[in-house]
This record gives sequence, C-alpha cells and structure tokens, in this order.
Amino acid sequence: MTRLRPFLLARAGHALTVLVVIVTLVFVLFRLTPGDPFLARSQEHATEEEHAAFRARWGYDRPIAVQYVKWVGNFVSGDFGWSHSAQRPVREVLATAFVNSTLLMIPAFVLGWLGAVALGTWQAFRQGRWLARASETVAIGVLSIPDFVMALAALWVFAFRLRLAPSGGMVDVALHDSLTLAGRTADVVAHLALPALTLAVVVMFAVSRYHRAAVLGVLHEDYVRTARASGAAESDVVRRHVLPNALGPAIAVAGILLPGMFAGGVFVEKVFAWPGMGRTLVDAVLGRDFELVQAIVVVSTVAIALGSALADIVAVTFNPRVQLDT
Amino acid sequence: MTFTRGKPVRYHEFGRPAAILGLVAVFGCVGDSASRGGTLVVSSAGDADVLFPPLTALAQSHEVTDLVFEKLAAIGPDLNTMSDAGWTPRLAQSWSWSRDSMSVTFHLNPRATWHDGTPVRANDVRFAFDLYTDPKVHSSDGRDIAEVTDSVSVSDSLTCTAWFKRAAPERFYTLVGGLVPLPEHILSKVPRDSLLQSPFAHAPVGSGPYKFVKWEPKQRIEIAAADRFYLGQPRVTRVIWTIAPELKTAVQRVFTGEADFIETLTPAEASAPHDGVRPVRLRGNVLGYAVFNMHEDGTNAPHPLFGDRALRRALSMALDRKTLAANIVDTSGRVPYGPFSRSLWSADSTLRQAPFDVDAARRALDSLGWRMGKDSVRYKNGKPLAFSIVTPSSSEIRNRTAVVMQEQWRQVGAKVTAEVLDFTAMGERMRAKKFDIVIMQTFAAPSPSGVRQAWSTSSIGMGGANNPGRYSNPVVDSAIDNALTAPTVTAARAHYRVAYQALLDDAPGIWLWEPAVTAGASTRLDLATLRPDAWWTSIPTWGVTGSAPRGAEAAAKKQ
Amino acid sequence: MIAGQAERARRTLGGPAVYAALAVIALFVLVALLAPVIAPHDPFAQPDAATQANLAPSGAHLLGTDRYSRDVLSRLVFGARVSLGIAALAVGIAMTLGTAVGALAGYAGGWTDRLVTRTVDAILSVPRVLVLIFIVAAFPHLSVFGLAIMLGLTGWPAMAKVVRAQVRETAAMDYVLAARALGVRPLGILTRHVLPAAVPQILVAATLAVATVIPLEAGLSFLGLGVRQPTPSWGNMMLDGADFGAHTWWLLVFPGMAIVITVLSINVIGERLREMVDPRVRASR
Repeated sequence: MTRLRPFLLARAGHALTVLVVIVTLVFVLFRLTPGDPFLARSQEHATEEEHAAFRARWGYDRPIAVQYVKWVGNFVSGDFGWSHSAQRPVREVLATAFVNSTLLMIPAFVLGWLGAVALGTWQAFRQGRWLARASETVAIGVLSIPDFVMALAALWVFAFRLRLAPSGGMVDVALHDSLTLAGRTADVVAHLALPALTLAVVVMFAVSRYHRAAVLGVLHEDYVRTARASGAAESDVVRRHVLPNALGPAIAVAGILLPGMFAGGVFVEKVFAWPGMGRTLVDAVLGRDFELVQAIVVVSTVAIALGSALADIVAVTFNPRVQLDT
Repeated sequence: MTFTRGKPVRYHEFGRPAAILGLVAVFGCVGDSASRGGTLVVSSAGDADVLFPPLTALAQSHEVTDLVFEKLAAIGPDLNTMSDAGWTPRLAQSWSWSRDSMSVTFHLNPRATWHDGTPVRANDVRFAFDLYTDPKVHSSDGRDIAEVTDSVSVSDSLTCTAWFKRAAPERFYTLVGGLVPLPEHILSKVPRDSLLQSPFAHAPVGSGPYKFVKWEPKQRIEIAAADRFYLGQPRVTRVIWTIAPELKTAVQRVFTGEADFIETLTPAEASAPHDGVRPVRLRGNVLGYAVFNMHEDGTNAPHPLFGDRALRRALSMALDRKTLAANIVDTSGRVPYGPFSRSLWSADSTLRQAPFDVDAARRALDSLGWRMGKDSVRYKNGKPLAFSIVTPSSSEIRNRTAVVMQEQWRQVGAKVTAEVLDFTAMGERMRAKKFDIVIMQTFAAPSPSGVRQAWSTSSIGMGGANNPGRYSNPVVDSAIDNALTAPTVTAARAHYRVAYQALLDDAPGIWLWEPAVTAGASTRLDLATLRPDAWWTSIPTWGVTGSAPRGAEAAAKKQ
Repeated sequence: MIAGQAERARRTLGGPAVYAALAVIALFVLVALLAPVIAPHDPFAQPDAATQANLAPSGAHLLGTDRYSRDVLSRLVFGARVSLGIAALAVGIAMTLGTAVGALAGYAGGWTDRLVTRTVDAILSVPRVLVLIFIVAAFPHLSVFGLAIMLGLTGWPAMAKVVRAQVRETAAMDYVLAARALGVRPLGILTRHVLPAAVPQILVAATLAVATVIPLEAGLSFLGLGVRQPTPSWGNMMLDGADFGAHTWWLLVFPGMAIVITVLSINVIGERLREMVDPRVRASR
C-alpha cells in the first residue's frame, strides 16, 4: 500500500494538468467558433437587439478571459450554469444523462468483459483447434463492423422484423408511469436489453483478443507448467495461476474502454434513441451550448483519468509483480 | 383481420406488448387506475422548445400549448380571418362589437378556471396583453398583436374590452387567434426578461381541456384531461407525445403499435399496407420556397449574381419544379401557383409564371454573357456561375430539395454547392445575411398576411423568416398594404393578386412545393373531427376504441 | 526451387484468408482508381427524379437507384474513391506526424520524452469521435480534403506511441549506442538504424489505422457530419438509405457490405502482419 501513495499523487497531478489543459482549450476554441446558444432556439423570429440582449445577459460579450474566470469560479462552487439547448440547469441535464448512460454501459460492459475473459481463456486453451481459430475469425469479423451498422442491423432484425424488443427509447411512454417500481424496472430493462447486448458483443470480442494473448503468454510460464506437473486439477491451475497473472491487460483495457464508452457510445445511443451522454454531447456541440459541453468535457476527462488509475490499482492487487508506472 | 372487443388478435402487435405486459403481470400491478377514455400516444420527431405561448417557436410546442391553454374564441371550420364570422366561443362565452367596430367587448365564461383551481378573470386577459406586447418579452406574436391592438381594459371581473388601432380587416383574427390569456396570479411574480427559463415555461398552468402533467426533455410530454373542463370533458383522458430522434423512428413507433398517430408519412409508408394503421389526408398548408439574397453577404451592395432580375428569371426557368415536387413531396405534392399556399382564401391559380424551359434558360444565360466553359460551368468575365444553397440540417425535406436543385442547375452550367448547416451555424448565417440562396419552409397560418413577413420592405431587419433576402419593391409593398386594409374579401383579393404577380415577375424567390400531408393513424382511433390545417386542436373530440388496449387499461384488464 | 519459394510465400502469407483479403483490397483500390472508367453512369446525375427514384436493382441499374434517381453502383464506385482516398490521406498524415514525434521522443529521452508521452496520453484519453464532431461543428465548410486532414491530425498520437516504444527499444541496442559513441549524427542514426527497425511496427499500426479511419468517416457521414452531398461516400450513402429501411434495402446493404468487407480484409491483413512482427505470438503458433 505504501507504494500506492506516490503513484496516486503522481497520477492525480497528471490528471489535473490534463483536465485544466483540455478544459481551457475547449473553452477558448468553442467561444472562438461562430455562433452562440441564442441561435439554437429562436433564429426564426429573433432580431439583432434580442440577440445582443441575450449576449449581454449571459456575459457572452465579455472578453474570453473574463468569461473563463467566471466560469471556473462558478464551476468549482457547484454552479454548472444553464443549458440553453435543454432549457434546464446543466447539473440536471448532466445528472440525467450520466445516470442513463450508466444504466446502459455498466451492464453492457460487465457482460461483455466477463464474456471476453471466458472467450479469451477458452480460445487460448484450445489454441490451434479449428473451433478456436474459427472463433478468432468471427471476432475479427464482428470487430470490422462499424458500431452504427451493427446497431442498425440489431434494431432492424430484433425490433422491427421480429418484434422481440422495443424500437428504441428508454421506457414505454404510455405504460411507464402507471407501473409500480418493479414494473418500471422491468420496463427499463426491456428497453436496454437490445442496445446493451449489442454493445456487450462488441466489448466481448474487443477485449477477448487482449486476454487471449495474455493467457497464451502465461501458459508458457514455468509456474504453470510446475502447477500442472504437480498434479493440480486443471480448473485450479486456471483459477490460481493462469487467470490472476493474465488478467492484467484485460483490466487495463477495461480502465480505458469503460469511461470512453460513456461519451463514445454516441452511435449506439443515436440508433436506439437512448438518452445518454453521447447524444447529449453531440446535441450540445451542435447547439453551441457552451456550458453543457464544458461540463461534459470535465466529467468525461475526470472519469477517464479515474478509470485508468483504478484499473492500474486493480491490476496491482491482482498481481503484485506488475510495475506501477509513475 | 377481425377482432372481438377488447381482445388483441392481430399478429403484429403481439410480440412486444406481450413481452412488456408479461413483465408487468409478473411484477407489477397498476398504481393508479385511470378512468375511461384511454390514452392517445402521438409520435413526434422533434421536441418542443418551450411551453409558453408568447415565446414558442416550434410547431411541436403549439401542439401542446393549444391543448393546455384556451383562447377567447376558436376559428371556424372555414378558417375565416376577415371577420369574426364562424368563430366559436371558448374562454369568452360571447362578445359584442362597438358601433364603430373599433373595439370588442368579451364576456368570459364564469365557469372557466385555471388548472390550479383559480377562476379565470378579465384581469388575466389584460395581463396577457401586457405581457405579449412587452418589448422585454420579445414575442413575435406580441408584435403582431401590438400592431393592431392599442390596449385591453377591464370593466368587471368577467368583462374586458380590446381597443383596436385601426380598421384592419384581420384585427379580430390577429388578436383572438394570437393572444392566449395567461394566469396573472402566477406569472406576475416572474420577471419579464427571464420568462424563458421560468418553471412556468416548462410546466405551464393553463385553462384548456388538458392540464400539463410532465415533460421529460427529448423523451416525452404528457398531458391529462383537466378535472371538470367547463366546455365539456375531452374523450381521451391522457395524451402523450413520444419523441424520437428522427422521423424514421417516429414512424416506426406507429407501425409497431407503440404510438397511435404520426403527423407525416412518407409516400412509401403511406402506400404500403400496414395492419392497424391507416393513412389520413390532412390539408397541407406548408409552403417551401427558395429565397435569393438581393445583396452581397451582409453589405448593401447588390448581389453579384442575384442582383440581376434576368439571371434570377433564367435560373427559375431552368428548374423543373414538377419533377422536384414529385420527388421531394410525393406524387400528390403540388407546385405552388405563386408566393402563397393554395389553401389560402387569397390563392389565385390564374397568375403568370415563368415556365419550365431549359432551352430558353440556356439562351437567356448565353445572352446575359454567361458562356459555357470546358468544365461544363458557365463563366462571365472570368467568374464562374457558382453559388450555394443553405439549408438547416434539421429539415430533411429542404436538404433533399437542395440536392435536386443543385443537379438541375448543373445541367445548365451552374456550379451549385448545397450547404447543410446545423442550426446554430444556420442562425448565424441568416443573421449576418451571408448566403446566396436559402430554402425556407413556412406554415401558412389561415391568414394571407404572411406574404408581408416574407417579402415586404417593412419586414427587413425583423430577423429569421422575415424577408431574409432583403427584397424591396414599392409596388409589392403598397399592394400588400392595400390588401391588409381593404374592407372586403373581394377587394383584398384583387390587391393580393397585384402583389403576387409582381413577385412572380420579379422572381426574388422560387416557390417550390406544397406537400399534401398524409398522417398515419392507428385504427383504434376514432377521429370524430379533424381540423385539416391544425389536426391537434381536434384531439379533445377523438376517441380510443378497438382492441390492443394501452396504458392503465391494459394493466387493469390484466388483473 | 519454385516449390521452395512457393512454400516460403505460403508461410509468409499465412492461410487463404489473407490471400482473399489482399485480393479484395487490390480489387477495391483498382475500382477506386478506375472509377470514372468503370462507373456505368454519372454518380451525380439525376435522370428523372420524379419517376426513377428508389428503383430496385435491375438490368438498367445493377444496384438500383437512390432517392434522387442516381445510380447506386456508380455512386458505390466513386464512393470507394472518396472513402479509400480519405483513409489513405488521413493515415499518411498520421503516419508521418506520428513517426516524427514518436522518433523524437523515443530517441531524445529525458524530459522531452516525458513531455511528449504525457501529451500523447492526454490526447488519447479524449474519444476521437467527439473531437471530430467538435471540429466539424466549428468548420461546417470542411471539404473532403479537409476532413481527411482532420482525421489524420486526430490519429497521429496512437502512431507516435507505437513508434516511440519501438525507437526506445532500438535506441538501447548496442550498435546504436556504439554509433552514438562514435559521433555519428543523430539524424543519420535515426534514418539508417533506428527507423528501419521500426518499419514493421509502423506498417502494422498503419494498417490497423486504416481499419479505424474507414468506419470513423462512415460513422461521421452517417451522422450527417462527414462527407456532404452530393459527393458519395459509403457512410453517407447509408444515411440516405436509413429512412426507408427494408423498402429500399439496396441503399443500406451495398454500402454497408462494402464497408464491412473492406475493414474486414484490412483487419485480416493487419492481424497477419502483427503475427509476423510480434515474436511472442509467433512463438506460440
């Protein structure tokens, strides 16, 4: 544990630097591009004076440095500003989007990751057999399909043709409110099944390749051969010697992949009409919604930094021989 | 397909609702058992912007506010805007004109209440007028109302009088059709310049047949029948708008049974048979047209290309509008007769239009000095005949129009770029007047006065859809002014004709298409009445019958 | 003799999958280069937007027509040009920039290296698709060329990481240390010893980068943000077709298949290259 402290401090310092740089860049660049949130909702009827009044009221006509300082001050004290594209406080929009994304991404990721570990291990053990090789080909095939194509295909086949799943959205609008808590949960689960499974499949094949390579590497190590030679049951060998040492890459990937999925799941969210962070961010960028974009950028960056740090910590716990990179 | 009452037999509907209902049956029972009447689910491809009548800009918002709020009177089925004939009493149970017809006194229905129980009073009407016309509020409806109405005075708690500024024939329509009485007891506490962000704007309290329940942004909007609506209970108890990210998904929701109504079906969908959904013809009152920018970018110098009337006319002749309309808005879509929707009472089919004649267009371009270059683009003094068409990314129909126009003009040697802009970039370009051609799409309100917003000099600088190309023609201006003050419909028509013909001759724009709108309605809907230009206002008369129960009744039947 | 060479070739190339993949890529590149010659119609021409839109595949239009009555096959062929061209340019830029920066960092070491690594890691922590959406929102006039450049400029960090790792490894080798001790100029060392050793890894990374850029461009075009009308790209062709779904399956299926087959072939080739280059994987075969 003592080794962790300098590591954590260094990582925290690093993450903070990155955060400040990215947020500042986004802030400045965004304000320099033409357009501001006013135009997002009312260009059909607005006059010049109305636009100027809007800019004055929200401070968009002040120098960028002044706006920046004001924003940072507000942000740190918890005031994330007003989202013009959603006409609600940014905190509310962010909280809802974050919760919705989590609801989708966590189950998708967990399923996919567990599947990846199972698949990768199996593939490594059956290395060379035709079934394993075939599954490797399938993996490459699936990974070659862009996510929006996969999502479209899944939606078309399972929702529109086979009618096995709802055609998008998070809840059944007519039924949802008249259901009890259990019923509402079931409703959301029914709606997230298809997008989550689609994502899980992609995650599974993506992570399994790393894991397979890692297991293959471990299988040739001495301690595995020793364990086998000493007559231990194969499942014991797997559980106690192979997996703990092979899980490193899979966990590292998890730390990077999972936070990235939140904002990067934009295609799947678009196709399935899932109201998550990805969609919210795209709409905010297109709507020049400064405050919302900045808030999302901060949250994403922090999440990714936390995720990769966490992944490293878990990896070390599993396998103390892993070197921590300061 | 046959079904007995209450039992779903249709195959297509089975899978998904069965799965959900199965889960519901296993896990949950109904929290609140709703009364008779049922739930209507409308599928929509766009979210509302704000549910506050003075400030709503989107049609989607109007669908909700027209049901949550009540106006003094409702326009009659003949959509007469030139007098109060045919208008039916709503919030006002009667009204009377003064001798000189310059003021009208409204007697409010004493049983009218706001959804929080407070009775509606004449003060609310006066308050609403103040708010609408307050410059801090920036309401475009308010601007129109303020132009014809001087003030509103209150005589007693149920009587108020509106005083007009001049004898404009459409003054009643402008005031009563535009002014929505608002609850003074709630809104007087809200500062006028922050109405847009106020809680009221997102959770309105009205006096209409439905009261607001909830709004989950980009997901759905729900309203429920008001308790004891003073003009009679609506048949359907709950109305929910389910918002899809794009039109295709919105349409699919009706076909899978998740929604009951969609406002627009594409031609393919309308003609393909779908169990449980039938096409419903609505009156289209949408007009799509292209606007030439008369000036160069934001300056006052004439546009290098479009400042020349002959070039504008030549380009108009090169456009095959019939093919364009047929491709964009299906075979029943029509080419406008002029700068107006044919559903207007001022519509005139006898006007003189530039014909579609590619050879004549080519000859005209040649004679203007535009010579065909080796790359199939015309040049004059070394400059190519190149320009761009700007459309907002949110409007697929306009984007497609630009693509077809681009190709048709390519055939006569013009190099056209189609720029699809996201709405903020679009707003910026429109505001700065930096465009060559922009494609507009307007909903023709029942009054023909829209032509003033689009083409008169007085509209320049009003922003948005108001004469974006900054076209100015005194002949058109005076004809429109005369039409607006003409005492009779016949006289007004004659003046409008003059304005229309001048516009067609001058070609500051090209009037492209008028879609005939086909909606899709579930067969369980009983569409008792359907106002063809504003279908949502008929919702209180609709009923939900037939099989495939939805919502609370579904779970209730399960028990 | 011939048998020996054939045997070596077979061992180098791997299984039949790689042959097929190479053939597919070669075919697509050929099609892209010869597009004006091969395409039966003008990809922009709308012969009759009123009656010939959305026609199913037939003799006159082998892959059908789209909603503006444009020939799908011609657009697919020209779309190959656009999609593959963008990928090539983007990866070229990423490769050049990434190699330069990575070599610099790996060779110089010390605080230069640390600075570069931190920066690269920071850039890599932001999802690329979001950066691109941001850029496209800022520059709505972006041409196809500009789009390719932006894709390249967002792709170099990944390449730099790979090159840096390889350069560091090589730079620690005896013969390089010897050359430095002898006073050979760094540029010379880089070009004659270090970079050539990195070429295999660069090739692998470049191949896989192409397999990333093509879906990225397609996805952006599908969102309406990449290649704009009327220029065809496989992604925006799918956007055109997404409305009608099964009614006009040819609008979705053909461009979709083109994307998937291309990416798949490149992945297969890339996998094989990686196997050839990575000693650990090779040993386990």
